[in-house]
Amino acid sequence: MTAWRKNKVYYMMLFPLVAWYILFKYVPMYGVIISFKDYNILAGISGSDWADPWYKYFEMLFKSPYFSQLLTNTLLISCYKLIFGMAPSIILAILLNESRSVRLKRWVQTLSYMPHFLSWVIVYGIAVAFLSETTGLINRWLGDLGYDAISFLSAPEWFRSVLVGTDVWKDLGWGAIIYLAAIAGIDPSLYEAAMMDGAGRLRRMWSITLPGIANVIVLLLILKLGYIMDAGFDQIFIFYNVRVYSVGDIIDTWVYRTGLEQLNFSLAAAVGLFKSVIGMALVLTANKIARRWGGGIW
Amino acid sequence: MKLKAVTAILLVASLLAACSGNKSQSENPSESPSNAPSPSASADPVKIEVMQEGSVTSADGPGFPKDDFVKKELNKKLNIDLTMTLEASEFATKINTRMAGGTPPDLMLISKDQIQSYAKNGVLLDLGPYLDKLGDYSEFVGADEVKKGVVAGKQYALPRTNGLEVGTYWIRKDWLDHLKLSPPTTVEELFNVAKAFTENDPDGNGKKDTFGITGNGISTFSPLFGAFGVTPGTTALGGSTESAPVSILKDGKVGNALYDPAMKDALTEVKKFIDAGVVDPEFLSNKGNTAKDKAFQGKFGIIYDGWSGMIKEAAVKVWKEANPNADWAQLAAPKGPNGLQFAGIDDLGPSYNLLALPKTLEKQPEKLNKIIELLNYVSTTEGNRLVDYGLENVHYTASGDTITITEQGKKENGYTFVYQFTGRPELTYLQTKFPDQADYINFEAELPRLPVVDKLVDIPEGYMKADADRFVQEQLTNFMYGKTPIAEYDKFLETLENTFSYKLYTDSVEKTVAELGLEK
Repeated sequence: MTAWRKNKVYYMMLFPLVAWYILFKYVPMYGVIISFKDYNILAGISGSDWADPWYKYFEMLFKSPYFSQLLTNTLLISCYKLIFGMAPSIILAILLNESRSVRLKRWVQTLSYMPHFLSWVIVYGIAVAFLSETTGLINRWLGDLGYDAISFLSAPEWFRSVLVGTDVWKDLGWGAIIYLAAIAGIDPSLYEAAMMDGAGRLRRMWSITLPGIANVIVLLLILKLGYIMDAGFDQIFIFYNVRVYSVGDIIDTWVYRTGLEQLNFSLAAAVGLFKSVIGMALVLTANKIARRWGGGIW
Repeated sequence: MKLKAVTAILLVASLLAACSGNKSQSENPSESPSNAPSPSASADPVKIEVMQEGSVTSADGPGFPKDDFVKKELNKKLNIDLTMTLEASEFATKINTRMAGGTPPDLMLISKDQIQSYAKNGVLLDLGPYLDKLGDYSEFVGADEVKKGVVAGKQYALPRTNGLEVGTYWIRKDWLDHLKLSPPTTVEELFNVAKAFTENDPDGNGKKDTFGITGNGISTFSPLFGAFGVTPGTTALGGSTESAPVSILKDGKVGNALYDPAMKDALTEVKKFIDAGVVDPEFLSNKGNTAKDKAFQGKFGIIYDGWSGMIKEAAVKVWKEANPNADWAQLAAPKGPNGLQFAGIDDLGPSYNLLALPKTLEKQPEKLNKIIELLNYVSTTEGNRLVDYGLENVHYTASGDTITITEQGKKENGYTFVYQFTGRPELTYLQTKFPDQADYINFEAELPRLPVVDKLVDIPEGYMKADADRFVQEQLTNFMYGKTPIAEYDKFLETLENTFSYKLYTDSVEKTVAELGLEK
């Protein structure tokens, strides 16, 4: 009670945030129950009948002949994006940190995070300009060099690489910002001491910078694992076509095609719940493992 | 991300439902932020709110003009107070929220799927008992068409007049002349011309940088499939994720193109084109304007497209600027080995959103009568001309059946289409609006097309349409590219039936056809 009185102001400051969380994050969870109901927009959530059997809409997803393919595609694309997306951002942040010219650093930083603000439609346009089999720049070069044109955008063996590549290009600089901030927080005296002891640049990067931001890297990794089932609907919906369905169709695009036709809210909610449960399990496990090494989030 | 939005919307919808549950019987809930004019008439005009998808641009910029002459005229004529609610984005969600909140618009234009879902929930008015009063409307759209608004055995919707099916092969006339070839009339000749366009340097620049045929998605080959009397299952000018209409009404009987023996021949023929390298290797990934851009740049000599994309002034300007010698001309559908020729499909389903009325109107006979009056009025010659072209002698002049749009009309009547609640006489309308393109429009309107019924069919429970559609498109693509040998076609049908329960769908097609009396 005394603690409460002593920290009254702090609690009051906390209140709006807690209220926001309850209102916008916890109350909507009530809507999740429509994944177990035959949702009827007029009867509302509570008035709708329970689905029979209760797992009807989950079954729809699991029983789809494409389910295993959808799951594989989702996980593969997501993992590729995770692996190939994080490392370049970290490298860019370290390189920027080592750069002696402030001006160069600012320029590179600004230029590299600009693509983050482009919509996927525009990125697709750029991709077509470069990768198109008939008019693309790269294929014209290949043609001039005497090679055959490569169908980057419609060949199953290239499609995922294009997805991951454009995703990395788009978010490279944006991802580096947080690492740069973490690097800025490293105690400069560590670097000075290392320099005294004769450590070179590479040595300092390896032994001071990287360990210094290791906890941030782990933190981001754990947070990103929570979204492992989101392989990027906006991007894939714009990029894919019938020839690459087998490697590019993910759970979200399937829900879009299936749900759109029948205004099936229950199915959409069921799939959302399924994805969330997996994401949460992954976050919990990853955190447990990280804690064993002393670096978990909580 | 999408799903989170869905949950949020559902929550809002349910809150709305809870709040307004007891006031749903109240008078007229149309307080939408539209620019409703102040009632001008003397006796209390009846308020009517119309909700539909889309947006308008008028002479005054985006939105309705300050002087909305169509609305004024309708209000005056019928003693109503019309409110137009247009939603350019997320229309389905917005109308769902209105319906769930118990504040439906008085008249809505919604998709067949929405009609089905609302009908199931019992919020739509069965218009069967009122059809007698809708005489002008029935005459305008045609009695056979009206039947297409029947969902689950009841007249829950009123279809609008049918649209015009467009799309055919367009060819570079100047390339033909340069190579001294005549326009192809058969599949065989089409192949030879496409080959010549690819290999014989039709633009005379000394480089082998041209191709034969391009288009968007499988529909690129619609006329080729048509030459065999089948369809590859995409909507007329659709992209790659469109639904798959394959149930063709032929000689008074409905048949499924996938089961037609000619399908194998058609696929083999298409494979020949692809193997010869005369087709845009990216025809399946072309989206939006990509195919057209490539064709206009002078890379392709043949494209599958409709008149509005090729010959409207804006389009002509683009390709004339890229190449002053370019001359795109329409081709009739090529004849197949058995003399068949079809430029694509003729969708017998409703081509636009359908009209529907909320069930709440049952208790407001006065308003209901006014809506019926309104629908009848815009279906009469006088009323329809108003919503098509504007005011007589201001925006158009009429002598008999011939309409001429005045200069003022051209400037001001760009927005009136949103008042075409029951539709318009499509061919005449387009030819009046685009007199310079009238011949091209007529050419495409008169090309033979295969009538398909798929859009009229209710999707049966347990049939996963999206999965089956994907399977069909993927497999047909594999046959076209030779990834699967055509000998395995029967195995494809077997899988379609066993794994994707296709029988449920074909049964439903037959049931619908019988119900609507389409077979003769």
